[in-house]
Amino acid sequence: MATSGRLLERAVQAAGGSEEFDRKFRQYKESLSFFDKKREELLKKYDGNWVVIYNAEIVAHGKEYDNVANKIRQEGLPIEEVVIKFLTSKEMLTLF
Amino acid sequence: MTAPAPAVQAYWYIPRLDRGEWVLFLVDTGASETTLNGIHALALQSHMRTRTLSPSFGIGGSCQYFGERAIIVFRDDRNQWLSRTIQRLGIQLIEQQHPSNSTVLYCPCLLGREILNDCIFNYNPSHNDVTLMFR
Repeated sequence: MATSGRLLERAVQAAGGSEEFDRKFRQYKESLSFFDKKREELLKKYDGNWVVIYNAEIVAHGKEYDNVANKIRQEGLPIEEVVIKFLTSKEMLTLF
Repeated sequence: MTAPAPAVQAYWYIPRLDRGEWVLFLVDTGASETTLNGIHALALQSHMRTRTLSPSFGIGGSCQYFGERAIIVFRDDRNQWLSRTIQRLGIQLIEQQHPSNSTVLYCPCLLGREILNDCIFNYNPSHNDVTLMFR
């Protein structure tokens, strides 16, 4: 059975190597940061929508997830790198 | 308005599928296992093995999870990668009849106690600050 260190190596290789792994980390982090900072502004514009963030900008949106996922594929965006969030102004009780 | 939920960015990797991605995990001390849910689980449904399904229950009801051996990778404050192997990463079963605007897709990925038990967890919601210190 592979050790944790060996599995980490495999994970990094699968992501395209250490530089690519690091780039994807930073890219995802920047998109999350963009979403957090702009959340209120985005909510006014995209209430009730799924939004797709890539390189700190909205690249797709829609009310149904299937349509949004199709747009990601059509645009050729790397689905494992984009941040996808659902925006709603409705008060929802969340219990996880 | 409530404070943001405590969450951390981490990478999941499933060796059997040679596949992984960065996601935001909600830190959930109520979850016994780490799980991929909602849209992250949806993308993996066709690769899952039915024999690994097991039931789970919570306040919101019950559902089923596939299981896969995996590693979860974090980045520490010295820019080093830190990984934890877990024998069972839960992947939520998403029934095909769920419409694509169903609330089941909103569910976040959860970082559960099999990882959190190795950590000291600090959460300061007024500063939007979450820290995991691995022992």
